[in-house]
Amino acid sequence: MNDPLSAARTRPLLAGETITRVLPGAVPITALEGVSVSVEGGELVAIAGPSGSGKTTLLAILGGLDRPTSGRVFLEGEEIYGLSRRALTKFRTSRIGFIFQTHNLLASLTARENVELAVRMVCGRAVDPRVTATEALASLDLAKLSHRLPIQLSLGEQQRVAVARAIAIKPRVLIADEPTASLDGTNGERVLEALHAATRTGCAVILASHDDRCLRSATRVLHLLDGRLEAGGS
Amino acid sequence: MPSLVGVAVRNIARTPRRSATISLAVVGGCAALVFMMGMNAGLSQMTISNSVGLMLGAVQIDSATGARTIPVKPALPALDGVEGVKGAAPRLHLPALLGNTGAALVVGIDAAREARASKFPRLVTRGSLPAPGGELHAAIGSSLASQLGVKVGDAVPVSWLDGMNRVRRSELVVTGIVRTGSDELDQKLVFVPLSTARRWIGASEGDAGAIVVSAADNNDSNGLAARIRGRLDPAVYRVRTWGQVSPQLKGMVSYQRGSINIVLAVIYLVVGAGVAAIQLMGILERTREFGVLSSIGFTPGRVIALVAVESLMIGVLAVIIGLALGAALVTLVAHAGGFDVRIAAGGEGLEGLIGMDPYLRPIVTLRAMAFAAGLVGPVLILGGVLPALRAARMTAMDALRR
Repeated sequence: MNDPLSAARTRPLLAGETITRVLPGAVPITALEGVSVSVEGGELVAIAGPSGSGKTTLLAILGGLDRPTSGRVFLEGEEIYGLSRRALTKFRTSRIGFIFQTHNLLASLTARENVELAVRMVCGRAVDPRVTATEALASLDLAKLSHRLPIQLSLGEQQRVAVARAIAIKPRVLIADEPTASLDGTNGERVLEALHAATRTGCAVILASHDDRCLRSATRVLHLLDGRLEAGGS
Repeated sequence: MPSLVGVAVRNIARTPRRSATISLAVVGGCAALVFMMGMNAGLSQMTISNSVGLMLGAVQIDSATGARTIPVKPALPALDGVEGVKGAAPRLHLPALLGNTGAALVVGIDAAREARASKFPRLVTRGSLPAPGGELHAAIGSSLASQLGVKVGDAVPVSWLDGMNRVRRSELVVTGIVRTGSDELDQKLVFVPLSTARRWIGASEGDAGAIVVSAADNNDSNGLAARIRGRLDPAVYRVRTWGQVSPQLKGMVSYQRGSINIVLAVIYLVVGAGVAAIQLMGILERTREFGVLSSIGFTPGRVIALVAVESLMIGVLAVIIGLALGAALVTLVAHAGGFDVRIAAGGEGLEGLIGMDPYLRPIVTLRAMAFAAGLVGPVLILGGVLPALRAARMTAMDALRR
């Protein structure tokens, strides 16, 4: 007998089924081949693997930023690539936060405005973007730097602003691509602590990293090699 | 938190060099278009002005029934107060033979009225036009004077057909030499008092062959003709513009305009392509930024709106400055006397321009301003929006990979 509530309880928060991604070109490259992943809320899942193994591509597909050539991705039971482009954008931005390898802050906006803009885009008038942004920045010890432009921040500070921007929208899933790359020990620890703090609110965090600190602190580690998930990685 | 407009302002301010480059391209493009179109308008004006200032007039009034003469009296006073009339002069033409050189064109004139209606009084190189009282006085074309070997004060035999088609002969005393710059006219023109011409063909006192009207604005000849028609009896008077009197001249002006429009079209393309290319480069550099915007929830429409707002902000100010700069340049050149086309012609045909105004004075026209703004503005916006549309349509990941 099918029990919808039971199904919802057992359904993973985010699941990718047999994802294949072929990058087009004169010689097409298979970046991912038949990868299946599922992540529960509150988990911090690390994806490890050498450069070119498909980590970033997998994160982008799981995060709704890049369409798979074949396979499906479910977020809260919704097949995200079955949505229209506009609906996907709305669905993605309301549920998924991104932290990129390079910080990708908008250069013309201050730290606070970068966070505010994201909050405003996602939450609309439901919250006060200024207050939310200020709280998110304060949680990463950035309150005093909130008026600075990205160019006036160190790399570590920029990355923390990117984390603040991602967590400010209170996402269900946080996707981070090499979030501690190029950060020193202290800054790296602060970023990791922020990600763990997010998991404590029920958010699922998926990150790709070479950094041992990230891998050690993950709930699970998945190993990718040449676009395939290695068996038994955890 | 800045709004879309606020973000656009920040983006413009953040990249001053890029913004300045795009602005300069727009300012330069607009100014160049306004100036070139001003030159084109000035050239047309110069051609028309040089042509209608001699025999044609901007508007000509003659008989509606094909009669050789019209009564001057009701028509000439009726022209007083008509908007755009600069001057009007009655004339009476008749073919004649002067000396033994062949055909001449005798033109009976009122020298006082010609001063406001044509350039002839200013083209007298020696002596003067025949005064109303001088019945057998004449001013003749310079080439005709050379052929006859006559100078001011000499007498020259003349023969003509009177109103009954009988050959009549007399002798004219040369009071002036006229040099129009047109060989055709200088070889045949013979100016005599209007009263003399009337008497020679047996026309009534107060009649003339036509009334030549000069206009304050030669481009308004159609409007002027319409206003004059409203004042005159259409059963008696036929009112025609210079273009109707001389379709050949109108065709030549149209041909000239068409030729220059081809050159202008090339300039439009160069200006348009230049503005679009600079804008395109600026936008393509920002593909990654659009990827970031997309990742935080900007829809393609919002990204395009941002680029459009930025383009509008740069464009509106730059177009206004460009139009003002172009108009200022045109005004400056016109006030300085214009370009001497004789210099541009490399000295060739200088003698042929004696009677003509050789200065090309560019004109500021609303059409040029509207055209420049209408071309550069949309090119700027499309040059930004189209590549932004392409970038916004990429997946966010594709954009971030750039």
